[in-house]
Amino acid sequence: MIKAFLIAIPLLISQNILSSDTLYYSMLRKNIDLTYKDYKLENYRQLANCSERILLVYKNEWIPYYYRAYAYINMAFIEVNESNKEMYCDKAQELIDEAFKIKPDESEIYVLQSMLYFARMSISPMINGPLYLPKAASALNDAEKLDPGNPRIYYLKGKSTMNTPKFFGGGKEAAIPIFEKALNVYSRFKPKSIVHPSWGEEDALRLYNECKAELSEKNPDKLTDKP
Amino acid sequence: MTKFIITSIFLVLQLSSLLCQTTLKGTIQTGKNQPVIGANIYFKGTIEGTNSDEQGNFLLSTDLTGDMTMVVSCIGYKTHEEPVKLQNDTIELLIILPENDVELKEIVVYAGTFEAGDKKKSVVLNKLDMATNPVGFGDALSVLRTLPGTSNAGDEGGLFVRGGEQNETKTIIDGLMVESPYTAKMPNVPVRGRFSPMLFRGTVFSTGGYSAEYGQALSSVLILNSIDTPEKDEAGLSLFMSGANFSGTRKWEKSSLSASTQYVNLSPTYSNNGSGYAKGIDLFYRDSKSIKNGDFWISYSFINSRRNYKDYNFSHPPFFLSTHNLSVVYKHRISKPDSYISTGYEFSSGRPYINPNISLIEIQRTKSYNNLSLSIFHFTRLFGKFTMIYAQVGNILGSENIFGYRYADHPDEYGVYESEPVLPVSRRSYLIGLFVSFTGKPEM
Repeated sequence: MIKAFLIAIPLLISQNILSSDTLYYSMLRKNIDLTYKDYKLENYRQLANCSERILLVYKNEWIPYYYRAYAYINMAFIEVNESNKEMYCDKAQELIDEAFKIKPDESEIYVLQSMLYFARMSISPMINGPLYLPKAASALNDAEKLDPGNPRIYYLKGKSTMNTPKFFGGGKEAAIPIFEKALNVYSRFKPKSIVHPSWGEEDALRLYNECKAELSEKNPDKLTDKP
Repeated sequence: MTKFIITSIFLVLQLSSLLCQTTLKGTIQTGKNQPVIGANIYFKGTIEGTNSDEQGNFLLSTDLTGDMTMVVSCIGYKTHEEPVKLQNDTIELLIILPENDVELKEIVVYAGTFEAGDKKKSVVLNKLDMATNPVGFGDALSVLRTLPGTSNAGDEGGLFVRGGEQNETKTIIDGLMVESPYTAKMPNVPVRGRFSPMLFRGTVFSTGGYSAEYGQALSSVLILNSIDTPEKDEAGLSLFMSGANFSGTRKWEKSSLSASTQYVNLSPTYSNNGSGYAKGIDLFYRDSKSIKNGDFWISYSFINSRRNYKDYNFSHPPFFLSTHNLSVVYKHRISKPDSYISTGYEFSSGRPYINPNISLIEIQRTKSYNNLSLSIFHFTRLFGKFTMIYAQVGNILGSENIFGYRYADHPDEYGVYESEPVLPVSRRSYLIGLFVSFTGKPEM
């Protein structure tokens, strides 16, 4: 009988510890999946709220800060009202600063920082483009120095190249090799846990196909050489 | 048997958490009874929580018990904390979330009045609006003439607000008062601002009441905030048909210095023991949504002012002041090639003058002022530098605009004071210009 209790007590305790941990992981994962399913403001809002609750309890983890910032950055892209866009960007910057305090050498946070600069550029690009494009590029370079195996670096580089006018060395054709590299790195990438950043592969593939489609329209011969 | 007891303990523990539940339901609203969508509702210290829906409603069930603090937070609003007693029943709540004070940082020209702390501002023009304005000829301070409350003094240039002269509007750049924001004055040639419109990202222009901080200002305050500290060394070159302006910014670790190659000394040294008043109405409308790629604003101001200062013999409207001022600006964005076409129309009712041949104590008025201008801006890159090429035509219709009359000091042999009208430098003006921004390295 006593023996049975001795087994039961640790079981109960371990169940409690495990459940709180898996609760955070599974709760976050559920909200991340929601944003993958539909690119909607509401879903990112839920992810932001869920991460906010987690980061207030798990104060020393960078991941909840990361996802709250990630959610606000995406909301800044979706939102049309400029002052709201700006509000989301400012909040995301605060969270990124906090995440850096916890883990200063995390390549993923640099990628997120770069993404935030792109979001800022979407607010009056004529003015903010020259201001933030060099910063975005340098954040991606920092991310690459820390972890060249992070595929999101090449996905964002490809996307940026694709949207840069051909005149300045950008364009869809120039983006193809970068997306190829991104897809290659994605295929070898394994996230460290179910909540570590893992986004971007589908988008990279979609944009890669978009670039390829335009190239084949323009130069049908050029493509036949390539496998 | 032992096994059975243990299993039942587990079951009871699990069941108890299912059976004993408190439900919180309610609505989150703004102070104006609008729903707050997507607010985060949770118990302090836990990760349990929910979101408010499109109607601001929420439903939160929990197996927590006892005294807890429910937190409601939402970006853009102040966070609200509500003590709740969780005892397995249903609690209904209506929570009002006050809005955060909006602080706009990156935006560019604000017009209106100051409220306490200068926190609430309405956005009117941005940097690009200033640079591509057909009325201003690329001059930051002239562009503000398309905002309400200002007078159009085409012969003198600069900013005249509500019966005040240029030097009665205080110009403040990054918190420092600028004694002479304008170029040196030559007779009948409008002065220009000495600062490139591309230099500023935050501009506050107030024609209304302003805080005691700006006590030196007589008629208005213009606050310009430069682009924080510039990211790198910058140099700018403006070329226009009648001259050139070079400005540069040198950046150090914590500071930067901007300089431009124009020396001006405007120190007005007349005594001013006069009196005066100004009253008026301003209207401003801007719409950048209704027309695709189009953006327009209309500004009208009525100003009635009388002053007795300088060498005035009696109290009358200042000579630069028109009672009715209207300006309409329309800009159209073209994506290929990357350009703006903009057109502006300015109308001002006649300006006062004294004709000594009629009476020394009676005000005459010139005919009204009309100016339709058109400009084209093209953005490109030259040698990897951001470049703006622009062409502007002022007063396309060739309206005869008279700013006033200048009379001889003494009458001639027939007892008549000879006069000549004060006219714009040219009836129709053309400007072709190039703006190149030099930076440390190419940005693309």
